[in-house]
Amino acid sequence: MSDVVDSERAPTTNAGKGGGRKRGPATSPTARYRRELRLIHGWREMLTYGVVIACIIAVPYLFSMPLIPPAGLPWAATFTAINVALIAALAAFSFNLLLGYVHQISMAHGAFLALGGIIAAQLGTLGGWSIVYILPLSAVVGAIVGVIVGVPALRLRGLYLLVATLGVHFFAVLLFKKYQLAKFGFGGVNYPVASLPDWLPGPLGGAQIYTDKQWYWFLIVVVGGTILFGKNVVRTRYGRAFLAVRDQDVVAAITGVDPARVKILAFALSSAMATMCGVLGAYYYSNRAAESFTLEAVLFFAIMVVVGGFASVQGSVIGAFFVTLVPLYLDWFTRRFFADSEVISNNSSAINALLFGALIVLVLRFQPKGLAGIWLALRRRTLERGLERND
Amino acid sequence: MKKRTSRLAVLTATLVLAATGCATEDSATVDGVKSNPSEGVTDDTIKFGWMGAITGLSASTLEPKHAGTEAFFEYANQNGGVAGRDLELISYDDAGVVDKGLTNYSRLVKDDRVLAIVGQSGSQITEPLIPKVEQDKIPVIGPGATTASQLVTPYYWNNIPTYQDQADVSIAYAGEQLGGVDKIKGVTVSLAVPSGVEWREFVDQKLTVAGGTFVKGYDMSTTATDAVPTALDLQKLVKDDKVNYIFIHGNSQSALTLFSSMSQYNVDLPVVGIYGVGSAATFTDGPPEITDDLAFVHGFTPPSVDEPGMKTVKDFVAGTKWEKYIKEDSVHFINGWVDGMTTLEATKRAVESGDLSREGLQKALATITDLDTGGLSGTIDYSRYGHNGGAVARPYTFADGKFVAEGSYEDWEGALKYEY
Amino acid sequence: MTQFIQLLVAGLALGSLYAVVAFGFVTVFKATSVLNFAHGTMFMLGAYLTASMIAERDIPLVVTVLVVVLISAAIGAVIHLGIMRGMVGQALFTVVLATIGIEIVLKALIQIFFGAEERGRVDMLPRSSSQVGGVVIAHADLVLIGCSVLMVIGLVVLFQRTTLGFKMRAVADNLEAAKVVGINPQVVFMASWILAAVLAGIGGLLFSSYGSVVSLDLAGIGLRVFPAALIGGLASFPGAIVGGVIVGVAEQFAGGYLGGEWRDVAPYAVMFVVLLVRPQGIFGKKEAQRV
Repeated sequence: MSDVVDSERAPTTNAGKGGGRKRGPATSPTARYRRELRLIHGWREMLTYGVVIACIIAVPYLFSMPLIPPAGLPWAATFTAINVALIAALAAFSFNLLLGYVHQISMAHGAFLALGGIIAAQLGTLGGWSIVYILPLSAVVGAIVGVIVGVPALRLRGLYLLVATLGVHFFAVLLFKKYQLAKFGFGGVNYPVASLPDWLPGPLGGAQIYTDKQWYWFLIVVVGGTILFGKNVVRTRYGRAFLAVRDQDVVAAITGVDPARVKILAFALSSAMATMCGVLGAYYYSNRAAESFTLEAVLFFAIMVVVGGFASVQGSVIGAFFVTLVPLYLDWFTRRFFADSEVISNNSSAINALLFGALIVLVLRFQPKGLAGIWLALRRRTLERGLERND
Repeated sequence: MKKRTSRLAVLTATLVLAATGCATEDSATVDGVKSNPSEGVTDDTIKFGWMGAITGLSASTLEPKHAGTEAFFEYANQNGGVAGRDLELISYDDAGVVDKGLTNYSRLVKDDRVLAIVGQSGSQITEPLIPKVEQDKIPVIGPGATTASQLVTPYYWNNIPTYQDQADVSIAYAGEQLGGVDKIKGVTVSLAVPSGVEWREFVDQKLTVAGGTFVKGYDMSTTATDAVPTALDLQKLVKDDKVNYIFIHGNSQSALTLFSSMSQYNVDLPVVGIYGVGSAATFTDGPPEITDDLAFVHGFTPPSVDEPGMKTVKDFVAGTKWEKYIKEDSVHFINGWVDGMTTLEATKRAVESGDLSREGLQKALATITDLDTGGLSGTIDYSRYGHNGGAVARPYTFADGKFVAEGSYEDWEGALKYEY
Repeated sequence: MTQFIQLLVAGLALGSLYAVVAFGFVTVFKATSVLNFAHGTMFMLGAYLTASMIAERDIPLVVTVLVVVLISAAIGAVIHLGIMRGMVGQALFTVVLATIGIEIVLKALIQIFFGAEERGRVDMLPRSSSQVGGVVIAHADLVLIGCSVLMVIGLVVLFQRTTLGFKMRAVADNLEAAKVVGINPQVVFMASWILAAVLAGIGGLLFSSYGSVVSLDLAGIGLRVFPAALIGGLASFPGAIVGGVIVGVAEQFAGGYLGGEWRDVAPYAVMFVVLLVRPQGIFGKKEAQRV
């Protein structure tokens, strides 16, 4: 059995892993499989979920408190960064779907972000639709376009796919530029303030989303929901099909999994999410121009996924937060303790890039499971120190 | 179990400590002016923010601009500051990336709580920030370029002439060179970005209205390594006597690319361009037959031009780390210096009117209609449409290793149409 | 018609540069199956070194060439020894991602070391041109094509006539068989990385006089190499050369007939067409997949 990195699985379901714990009575294959499929594996996971939920709720209150941060720590800026990270997490996860589960590197994410931007412009700025309607529609359009892109992708593997998607990126940027100049103008496309539809109950009806706090809740719901959805797809037999195709697609075909269909499904899902991310980004930044869709941004998603750990959902989220928040705090750190160094202050963004590049190489060389892998190992070790047997 | 509890305890303790570690704010009165820490006025300093691309894209214009403002603040502090306080510039680099720009903005406005932002750059960053600036009601002085939306929002105080202004002066200059605007047969070469398209449309429109001929516009990819197709096409047009002037939009890099391709194919046309091409390198590194007929247009004066105010700058930076900008003859450094000047003037007026706050600064800026910067720029007049204080420009050429100003700023005021 | 010929010549010149760079890229791929994202940055390093040595410090050409070759070789060796060697056995895409990381690191180092401002061009190539029947041919283009041809000849000699070249070909064709015969693959891998790095560096050196500016955008040239290699057929040396030339010509034609903004997408458009018709590239061989 190939090792599937899925941290939702408690250690005991992998025979031999975890330090010499006695196995309970449920060791027959059927029982183990059923246990695997459970949503929550025991009280340890419930605790983790609980802590995560508590953090999620605490964040907006914590960060919008009007206190003066000690030691000049960036406080309100962190809140903005968290929102940026949430949007990035969705993009990272969609990149991860392709990379971690189907082992295909696609550089076309920028293209789908641009597609999302065009959809948001057409329906939102020009059409007046609420963002709540635009999002699912953009997912559908993104999926369709993803399938269209995915079909020729079947003929290509590895580098061919990578370069082909690179080409798609450049075309998409050109397309956005033509669209922008045709319908808008030189300053880029301006998006209206995001607002919820009127029929929602109470204060939610017709509410506008523009402060960091409001965006935070909106993003938690949208991004969290989408990622959970995607994660559950992975847990189903499609997910297992992904993994089979990833490892040995000829063998997979023999066993009845249709690699073509699986690859296309992965593309569709990934593109749908990336397009949604494009819509979110358009509204959050309230302005997008052809220059906004740089190749560097796409490479950054790759960084997030690799550093966070691919083939795990947590990996993309952790990676997104890491890559967004670390530069902010690194900057604070260098300002505080290295304020006199000219070299550092003049080259802050290059130093950032240097660190992240080095991090990628180090992670890939030594710990390919990334931060999520480190977190998993830590958690296993600390939780196992407790004497309890599992369930 | 024990380990987890103790870890939790440590975490809680840290949070509590952090909360109590928060500094208390002073709000005393110094020099007759009450402190206002939530808007950047503490007992010792008045805080201003700077954000833009110190590295990365556009760094070649923005990094010297930042240095200029930094240098001016130091100069102002050495001369007594304002209301007994020093001026402090808190700068963040966003390398032209929107995400960083947004985060840095939050930091300046909410964490560092600056009084105003001096310099904010890149339309991909200003555009998203305009709604937030309007919400936070914070003045932004001397942004990096002047776009249409910046002319409409009341919180932006623009010091750099718009592309329309630059087009006006460029066309007038070309007309002067050829003996009449109606004699111009012009082409544009622009970077393949939206502002490049803007440039082409302005030149097209204005040239036609003035009686000249607009022949065609060329695009240059931002990653282009040569401009061979453009040069070849120009060669054809020159042979048929269909073109006699090039109006260029771009930066030093793209200009040099164009010139070297032109030179390779023996295309020698006079060129006038936006301030983006206005660095000494364009003139010194380019093929001489083309740079002999090259000019750029700007609302600021490069250091090698003698103006009354230039001596102050040169004397001040001598022996400091900012000296290299004078050596490099960077007009963008002067741009930053002037941004500092307008900021200082507005701050002083706000103090005089007794309201040193963001709102007070906003009102003070509106009163600046006649600021003389000693020849470092034209007269700054924010009463012009769209707070376009710096909407004055003049052409510069280059000779004997120095820039040459073609006349004074007043000489060219007649060319400016102010039709936005 | 004159425009056509002139664009063609310019395209050949640019294309020959791409060909040399693509060649290095394919070298690494054939030997180690690694797709090197950092190739463009090594190219850029060559250009920056040349610019800073010749343009700013007037160091003679021969010394500059030597320095570029040595530094590029050193970087190639470091990449192999430090990183690639330890990643044997990992999935291919992991290795590609690692090269992305290397690209980011190299680019950042170049920016820190050389500064973010661009540099003017280096004046090594002649600026003159001659007229042949109404067509203006720039001498610089001819020199460029000439240099590239010389390098290709040199490479052919290396691969066909030297022991090392023989070993490299053996490893590229069949790794297991080569090992059986006693060839040490590690040596070959290292040689491949060094060769690729040096080719990229020399490409950068040539480019710094052809293009007008040396700036951080040059890493984008590395991106052009990908479609070139694919068009030619990823694991094919003659393919790399042909692909490079095709890309150069396509760029100039697109720029001339469609407009400057189409230059970026032109290579990819050509690539799409070629891959639709012949997914393995012009010279590529269809790979049987081993189960």
